[in-house]
Amino acid sequence: MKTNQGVLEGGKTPLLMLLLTLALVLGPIGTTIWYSFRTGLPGFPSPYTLKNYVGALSSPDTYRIFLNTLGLGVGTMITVLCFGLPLALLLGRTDLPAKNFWLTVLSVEILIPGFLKAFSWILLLNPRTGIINVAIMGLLGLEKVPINIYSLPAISFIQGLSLTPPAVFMIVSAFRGMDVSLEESARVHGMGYSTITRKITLPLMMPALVAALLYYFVTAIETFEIPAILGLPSRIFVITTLIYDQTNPDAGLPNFGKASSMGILLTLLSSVGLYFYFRTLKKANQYAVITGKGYRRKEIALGKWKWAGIGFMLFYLVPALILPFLTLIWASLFRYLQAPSLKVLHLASLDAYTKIIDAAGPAVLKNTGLLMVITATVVMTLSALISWVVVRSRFKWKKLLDSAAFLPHAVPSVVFALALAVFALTFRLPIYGTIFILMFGNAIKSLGWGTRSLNSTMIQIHRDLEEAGQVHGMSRLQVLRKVILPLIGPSLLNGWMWIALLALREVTMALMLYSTRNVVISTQIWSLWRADTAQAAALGVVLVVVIAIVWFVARGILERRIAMQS
Amino acid sequence: MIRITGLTKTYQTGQGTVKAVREISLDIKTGEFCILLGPSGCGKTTTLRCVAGLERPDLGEIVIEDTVVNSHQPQIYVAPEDRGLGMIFQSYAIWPHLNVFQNIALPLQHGKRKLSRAEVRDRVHEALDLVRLRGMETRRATELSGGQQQRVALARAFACKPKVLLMDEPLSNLDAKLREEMRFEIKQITSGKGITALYVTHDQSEALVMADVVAVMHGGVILQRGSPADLYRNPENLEVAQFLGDMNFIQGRKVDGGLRGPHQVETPLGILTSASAREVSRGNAVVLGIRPEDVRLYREKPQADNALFTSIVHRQFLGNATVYELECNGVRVFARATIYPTPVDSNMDGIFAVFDPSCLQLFRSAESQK
Repeated sequence: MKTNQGVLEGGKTPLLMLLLTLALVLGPIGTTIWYSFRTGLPGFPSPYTLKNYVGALSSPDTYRIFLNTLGLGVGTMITVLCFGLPLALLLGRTDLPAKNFWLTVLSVEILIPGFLKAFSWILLLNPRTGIINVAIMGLLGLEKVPINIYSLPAISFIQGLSLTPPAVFMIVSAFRGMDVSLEESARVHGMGYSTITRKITLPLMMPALVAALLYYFVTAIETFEIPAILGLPSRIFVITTLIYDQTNPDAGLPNFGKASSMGILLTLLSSVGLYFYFRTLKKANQYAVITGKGYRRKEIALGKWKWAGIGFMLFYLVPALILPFLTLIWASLFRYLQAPSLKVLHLASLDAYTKIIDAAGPAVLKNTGLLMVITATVVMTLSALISWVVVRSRFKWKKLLDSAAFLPHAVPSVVFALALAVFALTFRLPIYGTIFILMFGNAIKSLGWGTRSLNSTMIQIHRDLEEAGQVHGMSRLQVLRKVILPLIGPSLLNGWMWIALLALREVTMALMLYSTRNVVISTQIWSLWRADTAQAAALGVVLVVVIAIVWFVARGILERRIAMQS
Repeated sequence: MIRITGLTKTYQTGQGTVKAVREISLDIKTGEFCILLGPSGCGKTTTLRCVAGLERPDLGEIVIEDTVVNSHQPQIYVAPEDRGLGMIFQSYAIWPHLNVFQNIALPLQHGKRKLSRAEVRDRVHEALDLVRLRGMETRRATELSGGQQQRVALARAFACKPKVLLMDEPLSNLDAKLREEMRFEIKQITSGKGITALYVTHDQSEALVMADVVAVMHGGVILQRGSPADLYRNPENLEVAQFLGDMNFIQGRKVDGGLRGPHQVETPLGILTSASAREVSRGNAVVLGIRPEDVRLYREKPQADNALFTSIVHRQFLGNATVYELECNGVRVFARATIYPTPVDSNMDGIFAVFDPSCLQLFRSAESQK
């Protein structure tokens, strides 16, 4: 007689998974909190002290940096609102032509690393040779540079542009979740379009919109790459770049204690933001309804305004995607950057592309490949197990398991990388400085995304589908192989691909944990940038093209498979 | 054959411990169609899932076809796949990634049964013939209508040739007309094949039409078990009476009569006589019950026990019958008259009603049961 105790009721497997997740997540973070009360290098004895916090809180520098950070958050949020809301309205509520195309372009844009866009913007707008700056100065006969890229408003704007696509997806899905009958009943009872928009649609949308803005405020104060590239040259610090500066100083020893205390403060700051985000989200979800299948929301017909709609799409895509990408291509063609004109075309060469394998280096390619494949595989396997326990089992602590898996998502990448470094140094783990610590960091950070996306897939697979197999004589393993895997397969693959590509574009943790042994493509481009701009640009162009092709092909195949099932 | 003895199942929820099923026992003979009937949350689905092996009971024994599949002492638990069952789920549980043929064939190919390719094909075709879906083999499951999905689920269960078929509200997602068709079809196929069926529903008309045996459940216990006619004519207590069909209830107190009737009951309508054989001693609070179709109506005062003059408050014409709402001394009673010509004229505002003592049920009232 065999028993299935432990499958539905709990037992050892879910408990082990809970302990493993908690250890993976809380180990590094706990060590960082502990370390923020110490000085000196991790792994060496040192006294406990409040010096780090006292020093931070009593220094006027700290307050300036906090103000910078808040300014960056607010500026980014405003940019996201100005572009994101109209884009979401166009894509979510109107009959804009080629909507799927635009949505795919936006999803590719999420995958294009922010640091590449920042590099391009430097080429366009730097004070001395920036292509646009020089052109404007020539055109208007100005003495001074009109636009300074190394400034907080510029950083906020560029960061806002690159955070707009995920915000659009968030707001569009909120639009789709809204009950269409709420608006229809208003129409039936005699209200016009504009009244409905003002009195019904917008008030209903407000919580979802505010939630999205709060979320991207938090994301903005947590990001590192754009403020690092555009802020550090003129020594405009935000908290994330300060942490990087403390652990990778130009001169002297790294100050892990101070970095840890700043990391804890940043995490607290973003936790406050996330708290309000979840509070607003709860309200937004009260308005959302699950509608039956086969219903279509009525779209607003744009009519002759559709050209204005397409115009706005381009108004966003030109500065956010097209111009930076063209600049990158242009830069990759010249040994020394030239202002764009036909006259310099004879200087163009494809040298940078022919040398690309050497420039990247076999070790870097191997590291990158390993990082993508292992991270994605580990995350999807762990996520599938965790989601199964969370959605299906009656494990007593499944809520805790779910939150534990989501927690790293709430910790800024910079802080998490710092935590991993301190953790590895304190316990003298041999993974420090290797590619494994990067896998570790990427995997734990992505666990929140992986479990959330699989949770929603698993919920859609009715428990009856498994039980029908069992009752008619199939064992658990056969049910898993023949029923569950084919059903969640497309989502698993989709998630695997997404996480692999996110690991490819990730640069923050890779820089924080950088050593000569764990260079990946993103950090290679970063360090090539100063030495050989053309080569870095060429590598960047190839990276973008590879990401776009992989994503388009994968979406094409997977979407057909998903469509077949629903 | 299914034998359930002393089955108990509790759940741990956020609010604490819920006793879903309390020591129930039930015997279902081979070939019998048994329906567990009760409101939602009464424990009927939990009982069914325990029989399927999808839940493990805390206590009790379950025997399917002479095999003990669950027992507490000694510890026995047979996994669902080893119980040789067929089951139909409320959601149909049609696998969306497979077509009709594959849905039926999958358990035969990959289950404990492991049949040869030819056998699988024959079984699937036979099952599809049975549910009249031949020719739909290559249709995707998701392209089917609700009724067709239901038939595929049925075919999948029958293709496994189970001795015991379990059904969990299989018709509740269908529209009314299809539901009546399927009732008939399910009953016909199971009795034709001599399958023992355990069927869970909250729909009393389903229970009355389909079942050989109905077990009415409430609060985790079986209140009464019997043939549909038996349950309808002689409900043992108020809950069963309330749950099966319509009934008028009149509060009262027994004032005279033998322990096992006939009972004289004092009510707002005067002293009424009930011929019920239930044991009630004098002075106890009781509830009298009569079904609307048992209330007889007369123009002239008849020579009968329990005859009253009532005023007609409301009438509802149903085509094959008329339902009258009658009132007497503040008590409202429904009467259903199917006789033609009806004794009531459209201009009448009062009529004599007779509660025949043999039709007047007697229950201990809720307070005196304690």
